Amino acid sequence: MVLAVDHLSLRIPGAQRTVYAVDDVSFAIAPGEVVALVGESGSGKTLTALALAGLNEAAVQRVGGSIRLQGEELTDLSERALRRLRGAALSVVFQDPMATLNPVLTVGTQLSETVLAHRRVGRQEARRRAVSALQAVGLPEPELRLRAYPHQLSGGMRQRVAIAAALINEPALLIADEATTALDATLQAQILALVRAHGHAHGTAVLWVTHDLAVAAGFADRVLVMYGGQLIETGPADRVLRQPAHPYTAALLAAIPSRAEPGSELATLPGQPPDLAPPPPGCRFRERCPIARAECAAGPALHALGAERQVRCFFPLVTS
Amino acid sequence: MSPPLFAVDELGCDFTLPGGLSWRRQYVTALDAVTLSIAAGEALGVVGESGSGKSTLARIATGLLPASRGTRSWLGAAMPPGPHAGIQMVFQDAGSALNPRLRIGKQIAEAPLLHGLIDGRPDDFIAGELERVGLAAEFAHRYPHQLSGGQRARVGIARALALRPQLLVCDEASAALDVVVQAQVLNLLQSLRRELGLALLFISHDLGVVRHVCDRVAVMQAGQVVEIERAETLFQSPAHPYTRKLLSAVPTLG
Repeated sequence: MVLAVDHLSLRIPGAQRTVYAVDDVSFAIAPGEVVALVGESGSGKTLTALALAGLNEAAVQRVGGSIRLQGEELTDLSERALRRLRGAALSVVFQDPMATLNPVLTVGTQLSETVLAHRRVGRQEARRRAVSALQAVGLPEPELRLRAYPHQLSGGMRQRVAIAAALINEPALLIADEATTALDATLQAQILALVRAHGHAHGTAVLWVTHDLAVAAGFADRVLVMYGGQLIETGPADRVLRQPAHPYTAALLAAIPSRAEPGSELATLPGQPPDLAPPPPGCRFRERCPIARAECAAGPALHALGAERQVRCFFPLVTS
Repeated sequence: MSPPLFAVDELGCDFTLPGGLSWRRQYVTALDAVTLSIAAGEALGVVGESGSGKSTLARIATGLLPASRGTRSWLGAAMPPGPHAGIQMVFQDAGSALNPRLRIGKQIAEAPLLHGLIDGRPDDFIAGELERVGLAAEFAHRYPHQLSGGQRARVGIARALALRPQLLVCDEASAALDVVVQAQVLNLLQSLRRELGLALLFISHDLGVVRHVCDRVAVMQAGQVVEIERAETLFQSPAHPYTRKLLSAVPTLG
């Protein structure tokens, strides 16, 4: 396994209330595997992903759990040691490329800089790698783009530059947080295909955080579904999305317009996601669940459903 | 044949690029000879990539932006430049479209008060408008930051409907929402259409949403409408190569 996360819990202490944002999350990613982490706003998916890179704000405390990248425990590392990893063994792509790219440096300078910061190579070689990184993300005329500033590129080109920078040192783990959410369908499709091909070819483990189940379906090998700070369902993408086991996953799928009869009433859920300060006792989806029973007050654990799937529900919609 | 509710004819829009040191001004054409019409109660979708001119079209239709060329008409009569009470807009990010320092009730009643549709004591009016979008009357006293994303989207719709428009222009109105909340907002729009006979100009990059909501769809590329067709036909047998490309790129759930 490239990445192994065990019993990760995060909380955000406040003056009046403490938010228990992520609760006991465990998963692993194999070399070349693409895993989608899916959930709605506030489900804890971004905090989980950023915790892996040590990029959460200081207010977010890790209260337990371990994160191992290629066997090395990351939670013990100093900020200095983490900085050596980020951009080399592990890299992150965010939703807005302008938050990543420096507006006053050329694309070439920024890409070369990423190489020079982590690898013992000369400027010539760094520049050569920058050209091939841009080629790999399908940017036309890479030599010319090296001289461009970020504002001279379109949004899609900028995101491809950010992805090129993330992949230039051939990281073992690529983390993407809604990296294609702001892009058009055509560009999104291109970028997903490219990342998937790169991951499979170079053995890069990919964790793709998204709220879009359709992205997960077409792109990921495996999906992890989060709700209220917990993993509630995991398994191979095609099986989870074709035959969801957790009523929440089923509700997410039923709410997608393209799956419904045009003009028909879309299936929705009553109520709101749970308040996590503190989380309600028992199953966190119970209040909104169409099949909840009295037993659900006890709170199910995430348990195996056959060999490859897990579900946190006493009454899963599919049986192993 | 009676004239359509709203129509634009040969609409064009140029933007001046920031010139730098050059003497010659440079233009980019955001809209190029766009002609389309919307019947009363009809939902017309507009799809296309970023930069294809969708939002420019929405802004010109609403009168927030002047057109460089072409005309707008309302029930067959030419429209003067500027906003029209019959056309209201719902913006993508309700969080930034609402005034953060004004209570929800005030924001909803502001325009109707200005237009003289209601008098100075609008509490009942506000309660009615909130109820229409599925919010309790107590929301009138809250500020936007006290609302969830879905509730803000509902307020954005309530504010647009407060002037009793016949055409609602929605620019990516559900794009920033989670799928369950998006489904609630789309259901609300559908029921409002039935109840009020509203026409929609519905702009979205999400083809699944457009297919669900719209009767007809216009496909835009580089400022031009390349195909306009009934939704069913367009999604089943797209005629233009660009439409086919757009449809094939959509990730689907099998």
